[in-house]
Amino acid sequence: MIRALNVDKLRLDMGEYILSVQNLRARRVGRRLLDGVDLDVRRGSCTALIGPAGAGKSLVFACIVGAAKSESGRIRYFGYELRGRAQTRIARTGVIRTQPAGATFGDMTVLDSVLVGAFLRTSLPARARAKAREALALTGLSAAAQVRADALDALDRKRLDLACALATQPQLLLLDDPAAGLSGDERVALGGVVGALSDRGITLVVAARGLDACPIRPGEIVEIERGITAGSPRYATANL
Amino acid sequence: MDFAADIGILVFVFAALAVASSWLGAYARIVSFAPAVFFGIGGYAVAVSNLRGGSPWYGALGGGLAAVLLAAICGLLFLRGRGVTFTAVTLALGALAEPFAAAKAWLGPGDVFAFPHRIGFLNLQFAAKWPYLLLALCVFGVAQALTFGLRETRPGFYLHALRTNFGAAQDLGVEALPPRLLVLVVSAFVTSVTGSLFAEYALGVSPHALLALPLGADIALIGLIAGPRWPWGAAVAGAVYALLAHLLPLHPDGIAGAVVLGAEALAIVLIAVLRPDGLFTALPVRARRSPMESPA
Repeated sequence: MIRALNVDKLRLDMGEYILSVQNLRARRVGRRLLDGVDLDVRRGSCTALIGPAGAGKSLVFACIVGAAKSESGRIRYFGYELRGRAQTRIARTGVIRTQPAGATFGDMTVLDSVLVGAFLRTSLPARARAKAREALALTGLSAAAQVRADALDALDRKRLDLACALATQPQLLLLDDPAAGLSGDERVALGGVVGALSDRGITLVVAARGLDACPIRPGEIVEIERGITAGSPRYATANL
Repeated sequence: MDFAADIGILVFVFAALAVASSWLGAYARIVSFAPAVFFGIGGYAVAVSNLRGGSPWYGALGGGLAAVLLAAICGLLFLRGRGVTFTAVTLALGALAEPFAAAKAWLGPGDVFAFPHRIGFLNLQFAAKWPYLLLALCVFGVAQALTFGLRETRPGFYLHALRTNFGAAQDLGVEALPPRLLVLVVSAFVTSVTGSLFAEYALGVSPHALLALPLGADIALIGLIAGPRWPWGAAVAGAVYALLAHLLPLHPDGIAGAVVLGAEALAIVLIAVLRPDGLFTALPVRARRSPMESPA
């Protein structure tokens, strides 16, 4: 029986950092795609992982959540080593990823899709329902609760992805290119939702090709090129 | 009157079997050829009870627990990944069960074992047909209620998410094994209890009637045909099968029987691969509205 990791009981030996990735290396189909990625994420912050297509952003996220295997390096979350852990166990610790393709369950209603996330923390339908409704309200999808997920437009699908993730009560949310396929106005609207998540104290890491594709202004920027973290992290300034 | 009762019993028995099979084929996307094995375990459990003079109620319970144990072992060992190994193992179990039961003397005579007549509720034998009809209706009712329960609780949501978008479900922390294992053991228990009831109704067991591979293939096919969208689909498919099986020789002996079994196996593979949502998807069924959502 896999038990949920109670992060409050963990020894916080990482100072203010919730996540620390050190010298991460990973291969895909024989090619080394990650060759020394470092990433430190402060608790409650919003960090942007910026890099061109193929730089390895999605693979970094996949390694963190256990969806892909890494060759070497360390991935510590509240001091707890995530490397080698099962994906579902990592999700229970509060590390949740959203993917560019979306996490919608096409033939489910919006409410049912969010309930899938809410059931991570409880097996009681009434409690799961309360959490799902809360997530729908925060993401502005309450009115669409009974709409089929595959009938939503692009922006609402992104909102649904965030609602599903939010319903799991995450501590650390990895948003992989969340604004992909959205127009400028839609990115602004999505930014409002992502900002609301940040305001709730959820730590965010947003992977994007550039800062213009990042729906929220990050507090810290980490650049990645060809699987290697480029330079030291930069802090966002007012003119970004 | 007895003829109608016979038909009714068969309809409810096979509807219950179809519903239990649909939890695997339609909801969990597990192709299992072992339903006849669990059905036979239930039948032979009450046979052993009759042989030793015990109550068939205990036999039915013991058979159900034995089926759960076998299902749990098979599930824990072989149900990881996409379940191809599990399907192969259930095929082997289904093929071996009939000769095994025929060869073991402690399971009764090898061909047909007719139960001694011991009319009475405690012996699960009745002079009239209607008590069997009532019990078959009860078993079917429990199975159908479990279907509705499955659709509205965490295992049902998880199975739905896994078959719709496996990767996204795993991103949300959905584990594949626990809900699949749960439906496997519950399906095994219900199938076994149904087998116990059927054996008492028939007042006997035979390896060919309870454990034959074609019966397992029939039950698996019914479970797949129904699909998960319409909650009554499996029950209807099972009832139609029972009527057809009563009126037509679905599995003739000799070459014809082998051809039918081959065609059935092909149909199972084709539906599992090409139409995993079953053949009832053309029916105008509304998107499911969660009963947990109260109107605004």
